[in-house]
Amino acid sequence: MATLSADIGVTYRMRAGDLGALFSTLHAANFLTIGPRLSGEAIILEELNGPEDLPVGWGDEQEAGRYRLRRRADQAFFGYNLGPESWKKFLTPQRQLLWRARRQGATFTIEQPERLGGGPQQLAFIGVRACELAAIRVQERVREVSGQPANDLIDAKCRVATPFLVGVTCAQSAATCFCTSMGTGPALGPPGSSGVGYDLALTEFPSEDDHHFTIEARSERGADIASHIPRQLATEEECDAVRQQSDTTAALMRRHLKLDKPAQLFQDSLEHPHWDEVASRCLSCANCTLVCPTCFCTNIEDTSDLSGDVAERWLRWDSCFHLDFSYLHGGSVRQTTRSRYRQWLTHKLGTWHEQFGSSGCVGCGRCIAWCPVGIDLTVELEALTLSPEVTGVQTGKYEHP
Amino acid sequence: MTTQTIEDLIASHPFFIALGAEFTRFVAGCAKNRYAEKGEYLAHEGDEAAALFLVRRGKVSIETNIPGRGGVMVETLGAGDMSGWSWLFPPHKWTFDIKALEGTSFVELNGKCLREKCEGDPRLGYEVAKRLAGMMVDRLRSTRLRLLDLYGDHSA
Amino acid sequence: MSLGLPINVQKQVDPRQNSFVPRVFTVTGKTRETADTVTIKAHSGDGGVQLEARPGQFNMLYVHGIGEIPVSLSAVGSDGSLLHTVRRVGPVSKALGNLRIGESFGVRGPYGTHWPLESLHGRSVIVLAGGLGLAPLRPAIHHLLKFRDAFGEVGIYCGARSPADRIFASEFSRWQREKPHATGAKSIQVRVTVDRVPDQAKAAWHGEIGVVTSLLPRSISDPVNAAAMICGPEVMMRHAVQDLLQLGIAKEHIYLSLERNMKCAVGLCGHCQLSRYFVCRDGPVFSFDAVEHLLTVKEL
Repeated sequence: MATLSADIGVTYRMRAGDLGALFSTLHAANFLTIGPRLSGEAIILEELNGPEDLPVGWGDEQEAGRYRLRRRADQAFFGYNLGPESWKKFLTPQRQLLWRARRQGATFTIEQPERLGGGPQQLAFIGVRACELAAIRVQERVREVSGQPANDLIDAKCRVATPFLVGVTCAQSAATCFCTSMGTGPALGPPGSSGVGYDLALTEFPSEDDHHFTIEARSERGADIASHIPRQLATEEECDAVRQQSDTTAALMRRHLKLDKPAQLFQDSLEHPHWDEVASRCLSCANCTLVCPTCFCTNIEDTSDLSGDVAERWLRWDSCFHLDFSYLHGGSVRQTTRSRYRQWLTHKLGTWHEQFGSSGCVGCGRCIAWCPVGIDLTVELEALTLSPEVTGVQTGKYEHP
Repeated sequence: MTTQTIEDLIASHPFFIALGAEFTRFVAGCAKNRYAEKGEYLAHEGDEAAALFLVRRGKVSIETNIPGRGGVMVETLGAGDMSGWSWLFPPHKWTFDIKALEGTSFVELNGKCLREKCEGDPRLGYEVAKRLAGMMVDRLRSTRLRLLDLYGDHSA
Repeated sequence: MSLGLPINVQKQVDPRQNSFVPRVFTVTGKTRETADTVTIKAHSGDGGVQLEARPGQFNMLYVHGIGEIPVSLSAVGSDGSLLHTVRRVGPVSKALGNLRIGESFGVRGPYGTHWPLESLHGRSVIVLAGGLGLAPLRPAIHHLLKFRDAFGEVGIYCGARSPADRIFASEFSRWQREKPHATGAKSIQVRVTVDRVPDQAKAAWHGEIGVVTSLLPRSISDPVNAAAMICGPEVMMRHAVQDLLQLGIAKEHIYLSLERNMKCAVGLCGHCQLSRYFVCRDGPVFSFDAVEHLLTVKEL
């Protein structure tokens, strides 16, 4: 394999046929490669053996309450938009054992999962979009602010010790996307500009006769990996094409979210009649929080074996849409769907700023696509910015999918 | 302390605080300084309500008699509290008992006298009515809070 | 593929490594406060460092196999013991209350904000408690007693459902007796009021009957220079704040201890969120001006 060194920040051209070299290089460096894969009727995130496991030639069609796979005319590796899963599936797994307690007479001893300095196999995420880099950073920030060492929440193999991140420029957007409004995409900015630091930036150009990528290292280890991939310096036109691709994607984005003074808006709108209107449609199913790449709420579950001697505590994803979420001896603080939707939206777009210094929304649009009744936060927000009288008139405009 | 006049006692009681010298003098014409021994009743349910009490020291209870249970206390009042507003409202009868729970010093204002002065001087009347209303609002709020039984276990 | 990795377990655990892992404490004493409330005294069984809790903070208490609940510290013993006063209302609090001397439970903490006692030096202080709300205030009262000279007038006002529902009643006379050392300040005023007195308790009851806020109007002679610490049912606190403001106490000098569903206690699980706060981390003790606009919004 060629080992001509690759420089950080330099754009190279790579043939589509050499994408396999990225995988094999990562495997050789003991990374487990994870990325988008076709499963059932959606694209989800799973372990990938090589480029052939990517959803080649597939695209998708998304709208409020709608997600459909579509065949593309070309053989693009990354020609689809975000699926229901985000990388939090690996970074803060859905279910983690916190510890196990064993009864010993009147007392008990606690055993906790081993915490290693680094796992035998680290993870490499292939095909991370700009908004997802932002989302990873948002979740990281939540842990920072809580003052907890990140690995408190990360599983035994310390996977989260910074996975190797391969970003991909979005060559298209779904109708549900609005990253431009949130300042998180679609371009892969310089590392740390809007999201978490990452290692490699890929941009795909899937033409039939000249299917190729540009590849750019964004970190030392990214450069190390890139140096093993056959490539050549990109021409000026090819470099321009990278920028043009994301500019075009941005220009075609259809959804927008406008929110100038979030704290003020939500403080003024806590009793807005529109919350009742949303509540009349919301099923309180929690889908939006599960697909959201930044929602971080968890619950702790107690289990014990039949003898009652061995008890475990598990951390697992929870949702502010669950009735029990705000339980306080005797009953829940948020009993109505109205109050739970209000909690979710005002936190995501409003109080998140005060708590963590940014919006909790990265504009990925998953909550819009995966809401079974097609509730669209960009539309709801707009209604909340209108005076109650106007909203009343507009209530009829919602179309139920 | 020995030189305190009845006007001083009225003026220094929270119920009539900042009433003004003129009104205080006026009201004092209806007042006398009194003392009740422990167990002594200041008012009996059903009797003509002819007084407003300004408690200065000691403690009284608002209570009612339930056959078989005796006097059941609803609320206690102490120094700085007032008691008795039935004198202002027909049929001018006490609706609860007022009993001294310990030796209690208080100023008693004759209800009929005060009522006539209030009728005769609507400015005074309004002032007294406002203070009474404020007191009743407080008392009602307290009662409502207790109705909530806030310290009970409501989880069951 | 499987990402569910096997769990390797290590026997020697340093609890500081993982904020979800409790330390094991052993019950060394129990005091029955009321029919359903008990104070548990506990010592650490791991020989580790003493927990340094400040008045108003809480611990997460775990009962083996049952679960974990937040419980404020009702005192810190001079011997490093922890005292928690628990009302038996749910599965975990019942299990805690049923622990016998010598049995163990888990402790994580202390967590949260504390009563800002040091910043109140020089001020008169009103302590207002409703029901079990006296528990998180008791360490603050102990501080006021210990550093009596540092404060002006001190008034402690407690509301309870009935005489039998009072907690720490045996300490009241000691609090009352505490005389100022050097200053000319008055002794501490302790007044207790109950909602109702059962007939059989009538003869023995010499306290007040009424709502606790009714004790406030004649409490402190210098409200402008006073501060207040309140803990009790939220409704009671909302009303108490209004009465204290009426007295002339500034809103930034009124502190209250709020309660929400604390699960992780470190601001990570989201359960105890109240607008921009996580009550476990930003509270439970808040100054009123920090939460003024949140307390009357329903279902926030």
